Amino acid sequence: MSALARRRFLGATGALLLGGTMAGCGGSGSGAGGDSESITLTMTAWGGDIDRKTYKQRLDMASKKYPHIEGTVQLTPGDYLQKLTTAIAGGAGPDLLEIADHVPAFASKNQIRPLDDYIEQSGMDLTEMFGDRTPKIFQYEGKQYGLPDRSGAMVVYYNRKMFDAAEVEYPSKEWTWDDLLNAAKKLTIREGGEVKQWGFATITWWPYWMTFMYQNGGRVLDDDNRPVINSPENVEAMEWYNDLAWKHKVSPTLRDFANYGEGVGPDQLFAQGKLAMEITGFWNIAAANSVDGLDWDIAPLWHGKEAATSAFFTGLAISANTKHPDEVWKVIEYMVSEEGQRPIIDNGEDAPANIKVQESDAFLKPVWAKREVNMKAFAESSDFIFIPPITVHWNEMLKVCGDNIQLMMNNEVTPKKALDTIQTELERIMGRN
Amino acid sequence: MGEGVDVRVRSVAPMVEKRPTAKPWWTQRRREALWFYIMASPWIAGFLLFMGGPLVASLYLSFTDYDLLTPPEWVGLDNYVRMFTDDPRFWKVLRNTTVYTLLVVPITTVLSVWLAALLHKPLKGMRVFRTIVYVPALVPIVASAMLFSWVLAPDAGLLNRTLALVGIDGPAWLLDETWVIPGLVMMSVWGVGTGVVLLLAGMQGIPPELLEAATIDGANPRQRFFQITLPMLSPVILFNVIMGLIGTFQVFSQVYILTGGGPNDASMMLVPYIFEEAFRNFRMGYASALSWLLFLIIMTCTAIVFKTSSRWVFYESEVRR
Repeated sequence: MSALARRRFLGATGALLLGGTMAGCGGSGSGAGGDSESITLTMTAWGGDIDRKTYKQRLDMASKKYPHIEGTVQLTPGDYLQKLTTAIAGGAGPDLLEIADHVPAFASKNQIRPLDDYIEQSGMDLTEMFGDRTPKIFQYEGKQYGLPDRSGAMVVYYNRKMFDAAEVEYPSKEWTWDDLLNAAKKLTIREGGEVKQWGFATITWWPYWMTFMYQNGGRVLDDDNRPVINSPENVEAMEWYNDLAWKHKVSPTLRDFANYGEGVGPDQLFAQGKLAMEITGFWNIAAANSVDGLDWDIAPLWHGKEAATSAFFTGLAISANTKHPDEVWKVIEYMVSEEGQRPIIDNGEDAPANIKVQESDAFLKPVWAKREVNMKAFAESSDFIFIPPITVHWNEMLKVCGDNIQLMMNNEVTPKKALDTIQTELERIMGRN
Repeated sequence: MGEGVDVRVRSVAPMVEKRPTAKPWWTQRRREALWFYIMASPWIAGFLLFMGGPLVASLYLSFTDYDLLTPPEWVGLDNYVRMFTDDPRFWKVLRNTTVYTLLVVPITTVLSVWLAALLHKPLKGMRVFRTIVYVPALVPIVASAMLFSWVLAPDAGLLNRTLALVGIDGPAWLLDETWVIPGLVMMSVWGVGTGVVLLLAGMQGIPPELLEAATIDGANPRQRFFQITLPMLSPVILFNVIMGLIGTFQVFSQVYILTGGGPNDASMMLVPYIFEEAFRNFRMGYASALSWLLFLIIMTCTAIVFKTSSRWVFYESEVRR
């Protein structure tokens, strides 16, 4: 075969292959029905089976109300942000998204729509429905970008049997830091050099230590989003926090946690009956519920100079790239109504953001609870939820804080040094993109 | 009757002007070539679609500021400049990755040669030992990561408890900035089985006559090993070293699962860093630039190994000058 002929042949084959692959990947559109009669909306969410089931159920209920709208759920069990950003980059983004700490990032990049016009038209009163704190979490530069959907405050879980045995009064929101320390001391039991029961648990996860900062009157960012993390209040709070494990020895250190094995944290220790008190959220109810013989209950968190607790909140947002924003609004408006929030509690998925639902009997005495649990703790706590300092740099901020707080909790640097380092780093990060 | 007519002359046709028979276009060679391209086309299509295309796209993106959500914005060499001048984490990550690789590759190479030599002996039950050595390489990375987090636990872990038996107070391994990388190295070395199997196969390919001749000539086992076995194995060792370099520079799963880069970035490696920058910090452009830097680093190291290989690798079929 002459060289020229071979080249022509190769060129033809190459073109054929390229053409084939282009045709193959060019054809997949968004799949949304072009039919003016019925519209299919895609929703992205994260979580497990129970979340998929609950969201689908609520979308189906919305379909009953608006028969021309149908919803499908794309659930990501793993890294939501990665999957979502890649899908949007590929042009296959959703119409409706579950959203949490991504609001500033997505809003600043025009990926989600402001909802203020819709809210005004519909006459929704966000403060009445969700309290005055929670809606602010989903705001960016003064505009409302998401509707609160699930909002469980972090509360304290305590082991009643251990409290009765040590003759300590149950936790309540009247408790101060001293009450917490005294109780934890009495509840930490050592036998033969080994700890059989811990009073409390401290870890590097931000809701834990940040709560103590806020309770001491400190903050991470000020109102202009400038870092103020090494304030004296925060240093004091972190010293107290770190002393729990190292000075008073009422909490496992990070090294002790590592000895328990991979994946063992406060939730697991509590379920194993090795921990008297822990801070955690709604999700642990199912786990605690499933342990036979565990006599437990929940209560709102104690307070320091101020009352504060963090919350795990998720909301619903409308994608900026959707072709049917009005329909998506109808669906999310329904989903945050009392009716639309019911499956959240009936399935034991989470605490609903809608206050009326939180105060309803269906929530206070849930069908799936095997025992009396003080579900009122969630509604009571919603008064003092602090709004976390979420910005576009949230992930980077958490990384810097986590790294240095970990050093502090390994007793390798003093709290003051750790916070000073974080302050310098945050100033650098927030100062540029 | 033709008188004077030379029949002979007339019957000889002038060969020079006659046209040769046309060669057919569709030859055997062409047919074979077509079949080659048909058979190779799935791979070619896969390469273009999943590697070639993304590679080119990534090169383009490395010159942009891209957060995956808004269109990429051209910034020229900014990402590369930032890497070297404006990113303190980068130097730490680069240092960690280099130290990790420079520990893993030599240790694994020496260990795998040693194990292969041991496993080559024709002893009874050798199959069992070979299986034992190879099985860890079959365990999924996630499972072995969970396992090693137990083994490396500061007080209750197997390793420190064993060290305590001989009176050594072991460090907190994955929680300790100095010892986290050695901990990860240990986990990596545990998977040495793949290299051992290749070396064993290489050893079985060494003609026994060579070793017999050497024994007759009076060579002791050590000489036999270093003068005959090792040189004969050197191509396989070269392969292991290069594959090891390429793979180890790109370590991801162990770091992502076991330490998340901690404590305080002491175990953060290049690929987890790229992942974080791309998908957590909305800097896909910068992550693409980092990826191309990693590519250059690996290529340079591999080229160096190749260039110096002629000094120590012996190919049997080579003609020695």
